[in-house]
Amino acid sequence: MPEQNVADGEAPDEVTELSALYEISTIPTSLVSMEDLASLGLDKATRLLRTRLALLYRWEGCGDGAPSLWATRGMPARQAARALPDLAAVAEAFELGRPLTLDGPDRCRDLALIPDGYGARHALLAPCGRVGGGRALLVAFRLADLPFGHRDLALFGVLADRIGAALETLRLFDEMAHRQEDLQHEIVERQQAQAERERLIAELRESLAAVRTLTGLLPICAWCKRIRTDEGYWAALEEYLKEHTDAVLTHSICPECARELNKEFTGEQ
Amino acid sequence: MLTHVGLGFSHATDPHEAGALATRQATSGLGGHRPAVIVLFATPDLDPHRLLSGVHSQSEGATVLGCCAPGVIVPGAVARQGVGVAALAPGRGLTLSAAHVQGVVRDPRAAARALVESLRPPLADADEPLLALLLKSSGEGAQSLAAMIQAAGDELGPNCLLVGGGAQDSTGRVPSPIYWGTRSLPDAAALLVVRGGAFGVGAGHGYRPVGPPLVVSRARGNAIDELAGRSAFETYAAQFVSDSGLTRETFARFALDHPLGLPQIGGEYVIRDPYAVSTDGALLCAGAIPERSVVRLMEGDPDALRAAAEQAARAATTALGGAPPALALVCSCVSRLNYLGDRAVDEVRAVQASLGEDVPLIGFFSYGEIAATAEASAVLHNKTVVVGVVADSRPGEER
Repeated sequence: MPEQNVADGEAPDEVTELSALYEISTIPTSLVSMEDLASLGLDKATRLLRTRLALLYRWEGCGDGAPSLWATRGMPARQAARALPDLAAVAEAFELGRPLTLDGPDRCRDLALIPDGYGARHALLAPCGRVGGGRALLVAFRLADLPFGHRDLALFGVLADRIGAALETLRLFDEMAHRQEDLQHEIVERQQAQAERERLIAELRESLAAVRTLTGLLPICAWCKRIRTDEGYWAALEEYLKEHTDAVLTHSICPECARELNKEFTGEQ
Repeated sequence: MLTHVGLGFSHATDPHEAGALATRQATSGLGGHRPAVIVLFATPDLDPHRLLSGVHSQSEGATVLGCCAPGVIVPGAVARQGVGVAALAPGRGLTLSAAHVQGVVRDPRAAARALVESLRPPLADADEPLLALLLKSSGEGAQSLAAMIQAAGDELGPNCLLVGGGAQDSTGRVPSPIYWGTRSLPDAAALLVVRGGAFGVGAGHGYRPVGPPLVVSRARGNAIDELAGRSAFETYAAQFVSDSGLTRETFARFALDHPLGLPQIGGEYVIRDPYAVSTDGALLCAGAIPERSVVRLMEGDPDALRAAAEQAARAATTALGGAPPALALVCSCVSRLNYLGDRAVDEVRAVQASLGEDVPLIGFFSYGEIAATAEASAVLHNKTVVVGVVADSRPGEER
């Protein structure tokens, strides 16, 4: 267990303590963007806790991969360590699941999150999220020799919890948005498939409509080939076909008939 | 060589003459050294173009920056008319860098970043303590100033102490520009960064809490719509039942010494100045109040305000670790000037007494004060005195 160098003899001020606690505990955990959340969290950390520097590291997505710098306050982001080093103190903070103080320039330097030249004297680390598996880490530094006290630790813990809860809400919103997007995509695909099916059906209907077929038994005269209609008349084959199909008949002569006709004209036997 | 600072002041009504006289007086106090930077504060009655041409005529090529203000602070005096000038010739090891940026209203954060960026590489070394004086022209109220402060504070880093304020006339209606060289810039900010010495910044207001903590139940930016679930004005007025004459019309006068305080852990309060009541009963403040924050009504009196100014100066000089201040920059809220009237000079005298009677001091009355101390990050203050001091050597260094 690391040293908890908590300052003694802090001037008790219930009103300011409770006011700060109220302000922190009412940070909305929904309907804030990632950017707003980082800004809000760091603003509270620096303003209410009188820290000169605050940083937020975040695990992407659902906690996979390496934690990276999310936002800074009181220093340019380019001067902060881009990735959270794999440090015992960080692991300890997550294992404890509550804020942890590091006192002295050497311990602050060991964190390797900010330039040595800043001369930080006291650091405060708090996991934002579940014990042992948070998805963000809030870090604050004091340059003045003013150790973090019990009140600071308690407030910092509440602040980290609110950030963790807001992050979880944002993650759920994000997940929901992704699912909605997938669903929307699926709906569009289905609608497209349905439209395609309907188009094919329409095409088929159109083709079918273009084809008129005769079905059933047709009484036909074995000698003159006329067909008996539904009304009982005997119609010529051409007339019947013209009436009941879309076929267009044109007169021609087959070779056999042509030969017979020729014999008739020429008087051949 | 130690830093030389010369001060000048002129009441002359002719702007060119006022600028020239004050600058000549300031540069003549440098003991023959050439000024590197000239800082000036002038009241709005002095035409800026003619004023700056007068300054330029005596500036010996120095970088000129400053702003328009309803009151100028010089040693032992507060002037509601005139121009105050400080000519700075830095000692060995002390360097001054200055820059300006225009188009602040459109994107104050980007402007602040550009302002600081324009001073690189002089600011490349993050290890070194710095003191920055940030001045911003009037426009868009204190909201854009707050955004600038935050962005400038982030860019300058934790080793940079900040002092400064927003330019404004006493009515808030006349545009108040930034001075840069011979130009008067209506939508701009200027930054002077001092490095290589020891620095200190102190801030104080002197207001004390009265009444219970009140939750800001509804707010939009700098407007508090509801306090404790009721119309903000009704809740505010109900705290002062003995002042039956408090109406929307008399509110601005009453609020001069009854501002709001945002409690900070440790017992301090950041002041927000409610300067007006809207038709729907919202309190309009000179700075944002976060929704769901807690405020307390505050009250002050001239003696408490004077004591706070003295304490701010003491906090600034304490940070120097014993090094004697070579220069003090003072920004005090214009509403303190309006409230204290002729007694505003008592604050200046208290600051001077705390610093030492021979310490050169210059400053102005601002609309929104800027302070970043060693303990606290850059924050917009209201109704506050901010004192920044520069010394030639750092604590423990050989002089």
